[in-house]
Amino acid sequence: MDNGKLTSDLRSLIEGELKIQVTSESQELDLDSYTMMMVILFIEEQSGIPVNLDDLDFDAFTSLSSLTSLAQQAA
Amino acid sequence: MLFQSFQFAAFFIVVFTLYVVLRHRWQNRMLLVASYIFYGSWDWRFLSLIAISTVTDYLCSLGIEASDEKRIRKRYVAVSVFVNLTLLGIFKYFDFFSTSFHTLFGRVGIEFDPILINVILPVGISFYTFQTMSYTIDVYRNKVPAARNFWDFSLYVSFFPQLVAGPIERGTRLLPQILKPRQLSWERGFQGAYFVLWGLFLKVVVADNLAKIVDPVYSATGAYEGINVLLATYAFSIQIYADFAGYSFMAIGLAKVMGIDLMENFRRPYFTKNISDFWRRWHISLSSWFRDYVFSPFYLYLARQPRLANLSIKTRHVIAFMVTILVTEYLLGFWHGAGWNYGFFGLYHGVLIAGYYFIRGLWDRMPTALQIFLTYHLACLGWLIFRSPSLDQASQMLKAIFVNFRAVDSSIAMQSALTLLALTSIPIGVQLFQEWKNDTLVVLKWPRLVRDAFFVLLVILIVAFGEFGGRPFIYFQF
Repeated sequence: MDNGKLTSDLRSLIEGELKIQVTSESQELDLDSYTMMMVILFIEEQSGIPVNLDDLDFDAFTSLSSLTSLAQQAA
Repeated sequence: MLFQSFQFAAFFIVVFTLYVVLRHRWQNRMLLVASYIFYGSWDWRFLSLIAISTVTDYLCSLGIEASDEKRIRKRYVAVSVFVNLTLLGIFKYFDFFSTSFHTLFGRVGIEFDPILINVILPVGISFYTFQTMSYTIDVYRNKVPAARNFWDFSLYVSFFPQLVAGPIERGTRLLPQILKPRQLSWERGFQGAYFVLWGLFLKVVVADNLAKIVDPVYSATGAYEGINVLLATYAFSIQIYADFAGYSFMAIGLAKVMGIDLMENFRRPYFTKNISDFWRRWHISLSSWFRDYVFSPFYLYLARQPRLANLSIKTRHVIAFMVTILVTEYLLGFWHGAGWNYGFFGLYHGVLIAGYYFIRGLWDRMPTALQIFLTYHLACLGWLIFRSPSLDQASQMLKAIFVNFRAVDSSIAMQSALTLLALTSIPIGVQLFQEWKNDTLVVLKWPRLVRDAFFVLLVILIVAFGEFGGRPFIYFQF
């Protein structure tokens, strides 16, 4: 999985859902459960591997970089 | 033993004095004994339920950790969930479902005597069973190691500030604080004292005085006057907030004084711009519990169904989300009480959340003030369902707002409106500041003179208008 492309796709997805601009990977994001689950499904689709429920920590997923880490774990 | 009682004040002074002089290990033992005394002061017989829950989850978590086999680990989780839900089922829901089945079968001509156990609801059972279950699931998910020391684990389950009405603490957060020595400081003590004072004010001045507007209207039968229903519902929306958030602030404050940080449970929920956000800021420890242990697994289960595999990711997401949110909110409603109105209350919120995501593009374009206004009123409608003893009464009261708005005696409505205004002005004012600065502790950062004057004002209001008649917290019944 190409990390650069994944980050860029995730950024587009979040910007589209939340109608915000994500200017950096560490920018704090306020993800609601709707967007969060959409992101998880997206990561599963991209990696082709189910995200392990045990790896999910909603309170920790507050930035693009933390979401990319989740995708890397899944892969 | 209510937080707002003199009995509790004396209890806490003794506990805190011992806490200061004891070392960490004995602090924990003393807190455990104090917690059991605190809980036993309601009904000592129900201590056995906490003990059952504690022993079950202690053993299950050790069993999970001792095994590498997923099947065996899952079995321990199942035992924990089964035991805790059985306790909850028997003591909270048994009579309700027995009566409901009796009514249902009666309608199709099958008559039988319902089996009733007529037991009073053990205070806090919905809170500590959820807390212990989450701990065992977290051990299964490798988020927290199983506690080795039984007494320390028992304290995690029964820690008295949050035992009977939360916040529902996760093992990942509270347990490490119990296991390690804690630091006491003047700064923490001061913050804790502020939380206790603010919580006490919300409970005895705001909530318990608003009850005088709410109770007469909601306990009346028939011939509702819309204006009074509306005012009582506004009053109840603030009463339930002040009552429950007041309890949470006091719990957080008492724990903070002892060097323990509990999670934030309310973050100005009536300033939210949509109903989804409302649930992220109302009873946070419960809504995040449902998110982590019900919503997420169920969502993923649905979204991964082979039947949906051919659909686009967006369609699959929308279907899984809508079904999951309705089921989760329905269960969340039922968590509050054994009554169809609670289930309907949950379902109502589920529909609102689902509806919000359907029209989000439109909703989010509205002016912020209008979003907050509408969200608050949608929440109020939910409170009307929640507070009414039955769905029938809720529909009658709602109808009165639209078809019988005027009151025969307008002086009662006027008095209620003025009381409501007087009692809510300080909480709303403080929350406006908090919201503006996005800081719950903003009061402590005011200039010292202003801050101290504010504290003195709170004390005066508590002494002058506080209701110390022993009215229990609303959430104790859950």
